[in-house]
Amino acid sequence: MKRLLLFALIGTSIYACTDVVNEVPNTPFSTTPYTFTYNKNLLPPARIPKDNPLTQEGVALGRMLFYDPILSADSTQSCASCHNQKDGFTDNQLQYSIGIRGTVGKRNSMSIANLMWHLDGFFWDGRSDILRHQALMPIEDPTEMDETIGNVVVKLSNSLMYKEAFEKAFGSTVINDETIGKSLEQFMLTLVSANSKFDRVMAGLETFTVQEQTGRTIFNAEAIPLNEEQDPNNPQNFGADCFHCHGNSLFMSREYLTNGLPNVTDLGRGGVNGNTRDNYKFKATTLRNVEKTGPYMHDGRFGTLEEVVQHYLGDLSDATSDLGNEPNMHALRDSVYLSEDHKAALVSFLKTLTDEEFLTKEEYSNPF
Amino acid sequence: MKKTVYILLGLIIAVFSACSPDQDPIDQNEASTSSLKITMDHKMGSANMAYNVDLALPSSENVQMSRLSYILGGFYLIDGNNNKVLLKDQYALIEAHKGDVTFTLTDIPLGDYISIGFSIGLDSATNHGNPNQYAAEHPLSPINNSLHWNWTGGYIFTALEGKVVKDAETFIFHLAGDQNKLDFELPTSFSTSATDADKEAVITYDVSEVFKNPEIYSIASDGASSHSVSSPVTVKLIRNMSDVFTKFEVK
Repeated sequence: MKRLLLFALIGTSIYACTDVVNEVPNTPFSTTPYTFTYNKNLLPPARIPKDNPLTQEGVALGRMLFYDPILSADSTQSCASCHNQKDGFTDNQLQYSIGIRGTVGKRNSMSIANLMWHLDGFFWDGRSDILRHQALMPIEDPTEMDETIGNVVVKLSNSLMYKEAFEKAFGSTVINDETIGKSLEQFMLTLVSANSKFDRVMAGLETFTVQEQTGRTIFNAEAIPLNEEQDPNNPQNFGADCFHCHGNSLFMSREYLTNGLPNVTDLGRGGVNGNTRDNYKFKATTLRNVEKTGPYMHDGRFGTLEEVVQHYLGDLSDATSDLGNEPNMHALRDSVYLSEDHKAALVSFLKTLTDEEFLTKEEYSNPF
Repeated sequence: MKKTVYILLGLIIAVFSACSPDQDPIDQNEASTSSLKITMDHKMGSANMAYNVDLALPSSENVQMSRLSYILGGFYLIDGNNNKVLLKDQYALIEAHKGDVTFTLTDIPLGDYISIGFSIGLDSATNHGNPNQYAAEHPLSPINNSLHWNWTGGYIFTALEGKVVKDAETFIFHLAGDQNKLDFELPTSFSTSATDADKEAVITYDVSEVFKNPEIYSIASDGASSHSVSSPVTVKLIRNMSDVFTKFEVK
């Protein structure tokens, strides 16, 4: 009897401890880590959520979901409908995206390149702070896919293909908003653009043309007030001051900024956080692949890069925002005076940010 | 029967004790290094610094400050034996206008200290290194700090921006350049030990000093922007900044 109780004691102890520490799913599964191949001198170290490590299975599932119109109420629109790879993952040169009911949206579709390094929210107004949450919002937006996550879960759960894909990615055929969001997050985090001509020049593999180099100098030089002495032969004296808001290797800013546009009614960031100082401010989005991501600005009002440049060359006197609260924009009011050659040089530099590999890469494309 | 009850009681106790998570005999409160959590307290003279509200500069110009960002690096401590203890690769990004004013120095050897040294700005090698080596949240990541001059052009060490109330003209002082790194050494007195390792301190930064000492700076007459590392505007402001830290106090 004593011996039996002793065995019971040891056995129960081991069972109890095992039960506490063993949190792996009932069905063991294994995944293959996803590896980034971009040049680490050109962009920062990969930034992946600790609770959603990238796996080949998770990325593959996210890619399927990204391109599948099953996410929309009438199965006509996918994420890719408004984020077309060939357009730098923007909306087919449209000013505004059109939802499944024909509703016209109020903002221009944003580039989703290099989202991994975004620090302060997603969307033009930063209304989503986590990418996996952002991924679900267009599904439920009545002006976009107009579907419920509940319905999406039901539709995906009725699909043997998706049940298998979710099991491979997350170890369970149970599908929910968390795993849908995480898989879309995984795929979008892989969308790295780092092989433009600019990148290859930085890597020492190519050289800029004289025109492109002049454009780069203009891009990176500060605007100098007109009343100061100028050397007309030095492009450093013709700063367009682009870099203050598009200056790092992502060519964007983490800040929400005003850009001096007139007739803006969209409150932007201020509409999200209620801070009136943030009214009419928007994400200073990436310029990578900017040649392909037109039309431009949050409302897609400019069709060409030349129009954008011309906007910043103006006196900005009719800006909706108080530029006194945005000194770097205020400084442009009467400082930038580029010749036609210098404008062309600036645009030619911007076009060196086009990454053909990104625009055509198989692993980013429609898997169906 | 009594024996069986005792054995069952023993079994229950054994089960719970076997799963106890607290089996580490080492006292977790014993530390081998210390840390120093520093808060930058910004003042305008004797008043607390405020942003986007009217402030009077020593020149009597009324302004509204909208940005005060700067990078601190080159941290070291002098211990009681006058040894210099370098705190390598530790940096701080201060964005005072956002309320981001606190950072923590770590891996400080236990001991007695009599002063702390640091720089506003970076040594030349760090200043012109590849900024993509840093994680996006790192103080020296241009994605994080918006204080970088294209590729390896270096960092803006201090960005001070705002507008003059009278005419709503803006001012932008972006102070950069290897020669404009400012070194400071502030006296202090604190000790850390294995049982009292983590300290907190406050450094007082008087913004009015930037505009008054040794020379009064007038935005109207001296200039509203600094375009180069050696412009008269930059030179004057950098000279004035040598006395901005007025107090270092360990709590």
